[in-house]
Amino acid sequence: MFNVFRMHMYRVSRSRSTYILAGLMFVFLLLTFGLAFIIFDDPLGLNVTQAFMTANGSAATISPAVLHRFFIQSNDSVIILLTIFGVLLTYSDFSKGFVKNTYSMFEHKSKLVLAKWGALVACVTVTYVALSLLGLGLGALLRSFEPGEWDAYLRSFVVVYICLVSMLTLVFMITSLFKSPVGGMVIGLIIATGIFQTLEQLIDLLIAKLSGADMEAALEGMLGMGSGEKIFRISDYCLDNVYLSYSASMGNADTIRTIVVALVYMALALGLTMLLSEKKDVRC
Amino acid sequence: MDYILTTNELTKTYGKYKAANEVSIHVQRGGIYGLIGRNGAGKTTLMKMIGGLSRPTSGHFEIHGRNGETTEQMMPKVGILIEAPGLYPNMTAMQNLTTKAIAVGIHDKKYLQGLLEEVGLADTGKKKAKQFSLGMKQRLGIAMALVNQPELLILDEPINGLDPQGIAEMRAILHHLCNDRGITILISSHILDELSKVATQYGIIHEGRLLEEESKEELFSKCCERLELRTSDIGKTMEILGLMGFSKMEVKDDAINIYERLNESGAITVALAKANIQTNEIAVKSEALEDYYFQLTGGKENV
Repeated sequence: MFNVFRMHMYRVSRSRSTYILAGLMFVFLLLTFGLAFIIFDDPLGLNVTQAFMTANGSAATISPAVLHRFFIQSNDSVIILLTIFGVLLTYSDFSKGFVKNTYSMFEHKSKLVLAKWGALVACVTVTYVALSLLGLGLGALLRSFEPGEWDAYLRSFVVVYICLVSMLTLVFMITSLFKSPVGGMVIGLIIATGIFQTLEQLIDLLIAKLSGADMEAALEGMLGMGSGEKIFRISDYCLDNVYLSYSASMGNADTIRTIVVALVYMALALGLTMLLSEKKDVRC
Repeated sequence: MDYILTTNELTKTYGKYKAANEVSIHVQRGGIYGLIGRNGAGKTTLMKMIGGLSRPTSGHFEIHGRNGETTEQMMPKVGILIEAPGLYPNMTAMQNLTTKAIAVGIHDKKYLQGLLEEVGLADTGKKKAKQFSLGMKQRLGIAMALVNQPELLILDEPINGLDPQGIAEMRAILHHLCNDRGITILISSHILDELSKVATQYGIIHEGRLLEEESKEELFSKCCERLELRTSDIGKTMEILGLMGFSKMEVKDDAINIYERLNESGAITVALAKANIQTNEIAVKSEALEDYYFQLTGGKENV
């Protein structure tokens, strides 16, 4: 199985698209830095910092955790490019028929699935760490950057990483099962753009209405205003919503829920892919 | 008999359609087994099951006398080239080989270079697979199948679409692998004439069923000789032949071809004379493998 993992790493290293995507990520990170410079350091006097962060006295400062959210978590291009990478890695051996060379060698196809997923996670990990360090390095150049609150940064780093791997496992599952790049791309776009968040929140309101909850309090809770009434919200268990709404300032309970939701999605997606790979014939 | 591969009533169904229907083949070690059948006969389905790409609906197969499906260590002894070779088009021949070699734990560049030499691709250098001709791709596909040093090579229509030069090269490679390296080859094709030049054993498959399985000698003795009979009344002659117990026969043009009991021309003539049927001609003649195949599978209308 480790050999198959190494094989995937070898072919990723030989693929031109890997370097193109890495280059694009770097470019987008630089563009994001430009945006951060305009928003936070405000050289143009636009005074838009307030829209993005809470002012701290007269001088607004950016903590490493806020930078991480700005550069990685809320950066659509990171999710979209990682999705494209995930789809390419998952789909290319199906599309080229190379899968015939490896699937014929192993009785348990689920091991091959696990090895490929391992390669995907390894690549995502390297990319994530590199982007995070680069984001932090670029962010440190901002005048408004204030080092500190490293525990919040670390928590954000870990939670966002788990969520990203979980989302890419969903992309991996869809691409593997349907042997098509379209489904995986769509999943990536849905998560990046948060299209389903509105639908999830509508369902939340419906649940609140049906359960006879105080609608005003439920709405406040949903929008993160005040404590809100504690009611069941479907969006709390949707991966796209927990990822996009996660913040380092969240309490321990919400942080743990975010991690658990991401891990459950990851385990289900990987487990289903492995299970079905044992049952289904190889289409190529 | 020393069989490297046997299948026992291997069946694959898709819904109600039986792509392979209780197929039992016996592949002798060290030979070339030719699977003959038209497109859609079930050759590829059978090969995919043996190659581990598809799960049989029922039945099983054995490699070296051990269950091929459930024994993990059996599969690495099988090399496959099914349909088009699975290659990364943007990689060179060596990079494609290296990719598979890493998966099976082989890191010997010289060994891989040797494989390329064996299939005549040693000098392709930095040329990418997408720039290869069809023949080169097929040969690289065979090299890929050989990476894990298989004892059984499964090749599905490897000469499809090749020009005469490519076919001749492929034939030479197959002979080399079988004779010099002792690799058993299971090969399918619908180009019967070409298959007859390499195979030592044949299985004729039609509509998912194995119709016949025989050695080269048996097949050639059957398809090369027949009793060709011309009489004054073909209809009555068929009736009399039926009463005499002949079953393998057909009417072709104005003659009756009999494919069994070829030494009974005297008895046939006497029987026809007793029924007042005039025998115009009766002689043992030979025919091509193709004609025998058509006769077995129900005639040319099936092609």
